[in-house]
Amino acid sequence: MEEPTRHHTLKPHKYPILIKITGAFIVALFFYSLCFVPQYFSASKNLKTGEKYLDQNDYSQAITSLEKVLGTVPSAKKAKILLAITYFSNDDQTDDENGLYYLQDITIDDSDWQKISKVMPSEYQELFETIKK
Amino acid sequence: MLIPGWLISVATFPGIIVHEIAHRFFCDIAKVPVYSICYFRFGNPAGYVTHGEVKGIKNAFLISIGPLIINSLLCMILTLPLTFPMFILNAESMNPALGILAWIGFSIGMHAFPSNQDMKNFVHEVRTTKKKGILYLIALPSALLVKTANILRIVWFDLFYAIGISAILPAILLK
Repeated sequence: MEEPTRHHTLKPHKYPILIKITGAFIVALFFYSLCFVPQYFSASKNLKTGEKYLDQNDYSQAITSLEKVLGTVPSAKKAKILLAITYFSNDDQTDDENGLYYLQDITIDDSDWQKISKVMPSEYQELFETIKK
Repeated sequence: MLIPGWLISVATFPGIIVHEIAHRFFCDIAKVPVYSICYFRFGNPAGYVTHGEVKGIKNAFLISIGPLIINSLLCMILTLPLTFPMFILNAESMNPALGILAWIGFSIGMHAFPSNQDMKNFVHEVRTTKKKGILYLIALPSALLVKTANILRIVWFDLFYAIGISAILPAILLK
C-alpha cells in the first residue's frame, strides 16, 4: 500500500465528481425502478393469495387470483406453474388443456415437476422431455 | 466454482466504492482526518482509506463497521424493486433497468462485511482503550464473526448474504 502523505488532509464530505455522477445515476435508476414496484407488489400479493386458495382446494378462487398475476406480469413463471397445477387438480377434466397451455415454452425444475406430475394426466406427461443441464 | 478474487472485485466494483465511501463517511462523522482514499483500483486491496488516529471505541466501531451498515441498507433498498419479480414471481423477463439495479445492489451487498484489516484496527482500538463499555464486550466476538464471514467468501457467503438481506423487505411487506 502506498505511504500516505500525512500533511494533506482531505476535506470532509467532499467526494470526486465521478462518484457524485455515479451516485446520481444510481438514485435516478432506483426511482425509475420504483415505478414498477406497485405492479410487482400487487402481483406478488395475488400470487400468495392464489397459493393459499390452492392449498385450501378452492380452485376457482385460485384461478382468479393467479390469472390476475399473469394479467399484471405475463412472464411470472411461478403463477403459470400454479395455474397448471390448479387446472389439473380441479374436478373438471375438460379444462385440463388450460393447464397444459400455461406450461408452454417454460423450463420446469425438478421440484416443480414433482408437484405437477402428481396431478397432470399421464398422457400429457409424455409430451415433456428432460433437459440435461 | 472458484473464481479469482480480483475478478470478483472487478465484477462487483460498485460495492467496493460504496464500502470505501462508508468508511470515509464515518471518518467524517467522527471528525477523524482522512489522508488518502482509493475508491477502487486493480490490486490488493482493491480500495482503502488512510485516516488519522481514532479517538474512542465508539468511533472506531463506526468506522470499521460502517460498510456493514451502509452497504447492507443500500443493498436492501436498491434491490427492493427487483426482488418481487426475481424471487417471488420468478418472472422470465424483466426491464433491463432492473437488471442493472440487481448488479449494483447485489455488488454493494457483497461488500458489506468489513475486511480483516478493518476489524484488526477496531480490535487494536478496543485493546488500547481505557473505557470498557458494552462495545468492549462485543468487539472480539464481532471481529471473530467478520473473520469467519471473510473466510466463508470462498463458498460465496458474501453473495448469499446479499441475497438474504435483499429478501428482508419483501418478506415484511408481503406479511
